[in-house]
Amino acid sequence: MSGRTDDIVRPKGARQAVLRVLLFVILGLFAAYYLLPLFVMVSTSLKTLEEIRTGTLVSLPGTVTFEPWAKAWSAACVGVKCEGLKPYFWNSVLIAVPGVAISTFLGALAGYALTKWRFRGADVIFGLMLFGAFIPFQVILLPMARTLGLLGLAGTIPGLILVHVVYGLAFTTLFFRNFAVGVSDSIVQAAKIDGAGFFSIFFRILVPMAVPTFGVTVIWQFTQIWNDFLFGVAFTSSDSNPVTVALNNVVATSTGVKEYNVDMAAAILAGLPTLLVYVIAGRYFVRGLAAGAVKG
Amino acid sequence: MSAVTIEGVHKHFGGFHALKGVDLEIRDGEFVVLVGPSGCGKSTLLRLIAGLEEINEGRIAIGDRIVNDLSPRDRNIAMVFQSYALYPHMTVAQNIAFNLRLAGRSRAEIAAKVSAAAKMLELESLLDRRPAELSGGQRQRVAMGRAMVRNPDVFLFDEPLSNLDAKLRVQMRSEIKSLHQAVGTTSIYVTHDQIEAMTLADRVVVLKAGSIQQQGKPLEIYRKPANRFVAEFIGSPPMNFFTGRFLREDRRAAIVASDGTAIGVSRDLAIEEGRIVTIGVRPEHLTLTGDPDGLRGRVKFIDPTGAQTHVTVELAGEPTVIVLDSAVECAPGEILTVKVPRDLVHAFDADTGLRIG
Repeated sequence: MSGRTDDIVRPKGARQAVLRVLLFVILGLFAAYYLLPLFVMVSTSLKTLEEIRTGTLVSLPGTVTFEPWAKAWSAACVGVKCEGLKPYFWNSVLIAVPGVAISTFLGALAGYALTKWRFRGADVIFGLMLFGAFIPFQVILLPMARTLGLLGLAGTIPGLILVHVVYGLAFTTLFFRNFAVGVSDSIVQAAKIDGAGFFSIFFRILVPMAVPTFGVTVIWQFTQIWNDFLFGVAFTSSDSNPVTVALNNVVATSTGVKEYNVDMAAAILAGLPTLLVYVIAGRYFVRGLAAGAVKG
Repeated sequence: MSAVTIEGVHKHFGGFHALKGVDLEIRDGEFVVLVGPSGCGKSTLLRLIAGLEEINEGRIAIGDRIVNDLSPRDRNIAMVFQSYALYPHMTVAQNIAFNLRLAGRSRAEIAAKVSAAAKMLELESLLDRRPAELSGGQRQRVAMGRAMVRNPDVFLFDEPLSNLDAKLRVQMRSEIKSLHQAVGTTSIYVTHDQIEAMTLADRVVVLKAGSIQQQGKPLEIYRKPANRFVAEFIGSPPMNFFTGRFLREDRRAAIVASDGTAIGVSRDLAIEEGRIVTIGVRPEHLTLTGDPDGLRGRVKFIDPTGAQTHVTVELAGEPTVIVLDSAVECAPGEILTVKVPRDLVHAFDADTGLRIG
């Protein structure tokens, strides 16, 4: 990642030069393939409906308008209400932030306890938690609906947070367990002798060492929870719907003309926060995934 | 400062009996080294004293407190680990102060103690660095500083020098020794290196397979090993052994090996005629001689070490190491005549390995 030019292998001879050009052409094609949908979405969202009807899909907007964005945010019709995505966007924030925070914290605590305070059956418990990562979403819909009903949380935001925390724990525990396995036991033992207990070792030793793992876990959980549609549609009612469900309702609302520009703007708005999280925490993502991470 | 009393301690790991009834009295201020090969239980014993493992049977007391059920933090001990076990996200100063901060000491007291320790260990210029920016020897010193600041009753060292290169090891060894002389805290030190044990210890405790084989002052153990295992383990290069039948004539006694070679030994050994015994002679006690009564053998290998040369000679059918001054010239294949000093021969029962006489 550093700008050291002496690491770059420079082509020697014509054959290699041709191969090099070919390589960049292929890479360019792949990049275009992935970027094209984004380009179409952005440009369409900035066009007027008139222009969309008359122009082509890939053309740049003749007159740039932010009208569709404003409408998508605060006036588009979601089902029968026409308040835009705004209230549902905030629903998603209210679901994702506590959902990510709680599942990450509990996963960190569980990963630490499973590796550094080994108890009888720790491996079995970890195995069962890991199994949780392989349970398909559909399988838990009905039992979870029943559970939320019994808890009086059906159709509410706290109910959906609970679902995401429970489902996310398998992953967050796995991430933190893999991190904690790489932390030398003698560091924990030294801390015990220094007078630290279960929680002071966790907060003062493990957590500061686990920053890259927190990066990975937050990205993973935020993406999962923010992008979730199935749990959102199954476990919330219209007022508490997350933005993904609302987006579907905006696009699916079929009265009058199909407003592609508003749909595109709404879709980008709904996807923006995950992009933002990648930008902020992304540099930890690769680092945290790549290794048992930090060495002393 | 405190004495440490270990009584009938047993430790099992699943089906593995790691410690088989260990009794040990460590006096206040004493420097005791636990030494033995891998798996002998020396580290386990240290970890039991630290409270990092639970005792299955027996008692451990520090001072007059039985600590069996106390957690490590309540035992007032400090431990230096082989891997140093420094907290990677903290600076040197924070590492050293961690215990004091947990104990809720005042800022002023912490600062004073950290700087005193840093001064003693020459860490003053490194206080703001993190462990990753330190060399092995510096990390080792930080680990010692962390142990020192708390004024523990007992210092525990778990192979603290194993990760250092040879030169640094010698230097840190003398630093640990001078630290102990300055502070005088009871210290228990685990190592597999018998030279480390000999140089550091007031008392060496040799362990094998979960039992104490012998304990005593370093030279006592060197001069009078209690059994063949200790004889072989302590001393470098290791002791040479010969097995044969004990024969006594009116003025002389000898061991006759299976190939018929007679090795003269002291007449005073309390061994009955005809008994099969194993005798041991240290390589540094064997000398070359012009005496025709000496043992003759062919040189197999020559290992120069600098001041001395270790020569392996085939004597009485056994490859036997002799330590010679490096000025002595010899070559593989040459025949040497070796003198075995009668009074420096150790005798052991051929079956039990226990010392005779």
